[in-house]
Amino acid sequence: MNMFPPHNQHDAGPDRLREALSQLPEHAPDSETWSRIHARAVSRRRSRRRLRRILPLAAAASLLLALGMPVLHDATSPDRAPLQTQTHVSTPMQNPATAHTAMPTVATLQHRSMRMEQWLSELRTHGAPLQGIALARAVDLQDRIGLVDLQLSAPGDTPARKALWQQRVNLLQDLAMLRVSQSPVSDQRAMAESRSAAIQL
Amino acid sequence: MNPNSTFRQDLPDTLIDRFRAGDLDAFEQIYRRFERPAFTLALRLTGQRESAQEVLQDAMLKAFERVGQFRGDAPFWGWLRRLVINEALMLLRKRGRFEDAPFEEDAFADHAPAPWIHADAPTLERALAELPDTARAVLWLYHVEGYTHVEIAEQFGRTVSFSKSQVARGTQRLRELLQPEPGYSPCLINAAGNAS
Repeated sequence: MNMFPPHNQHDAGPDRLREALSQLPEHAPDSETWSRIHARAVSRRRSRRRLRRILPLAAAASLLLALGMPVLHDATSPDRAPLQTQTHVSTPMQNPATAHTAMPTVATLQHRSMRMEQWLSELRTHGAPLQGIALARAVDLQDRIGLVDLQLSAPGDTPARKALWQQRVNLLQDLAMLRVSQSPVSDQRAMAESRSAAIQL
Repeated sequence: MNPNSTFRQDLPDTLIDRFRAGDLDAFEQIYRRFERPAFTLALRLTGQRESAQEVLQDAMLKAFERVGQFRGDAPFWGWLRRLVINEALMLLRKRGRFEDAPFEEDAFADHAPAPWIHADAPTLERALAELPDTARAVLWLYHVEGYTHVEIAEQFGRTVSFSKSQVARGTQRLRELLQPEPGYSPCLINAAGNAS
């Protein structure tokens, strides 16, 4: 015998199915689900942070390599020693082929320093304000530049002054690198253009 | 939407702000609030506990990573529910393409029996789990989550007719699964259960 009770027309409607389904109980996920999600969230955040650090640095390095190979060469040489022969002031920036054989004079370094400062000024205008660790690093670099300036204001022989001017250029490069690396990659093209303009001066 | 669902929860703005800022404690608080409704929704749509676990994890991580896209002009729970549904449907897509079927107008014909009104929860859950993936998901979205046929069609990238036919097929199949076979009385089982 079928004990299934008779139903009226309303019973067969979608409302009753909706009601029956809606009354089904809720279920809980496995107890360790949160720890898995947490671990994945932490891991992904680390990866993103690493990427955020590396990508602008890589882009900035490429930019400086493309536009300022001779300057970078100075920055990466042991104790940033001067190069061998002197050419025209603007040549090391504009003609990398001759830059490796050029030995900068005090005048060259002073000119380079001036151009770097002009470019930095452009970077400050176009770039976002520095924050956190980058800001602290920028302040440190500026302090060191100030210290070099103090030493340059005192009398000294030519080799010593040349070394100080070289140091100043290197510190300005570091500051520029920091500025570029802290800017969105999309802004770096504009920075490169402003640097090109600075180089032409 | 299912009136019994605990998905519909309004969160304090401060909690959402902390979540936006990447605060992992805020993330855990949000997870704890929504783990059950989100998991249950994923379970209903996918029909498998393991799949629901996967959907829950992926949806929560997406919420954490994309909370910046949450504009706040609609409730947070609605945004999170959509993420869960999207993840579940994506998983179903991976399993195999959504089946199509002709629309059957008479699925809710007056003469059709409604065995679900007598089925207990475990029986109805088992029957639901036996439905084809697409039919189960569409049936649940339509009846319980309150989606319209147009919205379901958009979610699946199909036509309104597809949604209607899946509701009809799912309903018909559910009826068959719950229908007592000749000579078999579910009422006796219920009576025995109640007596014990």
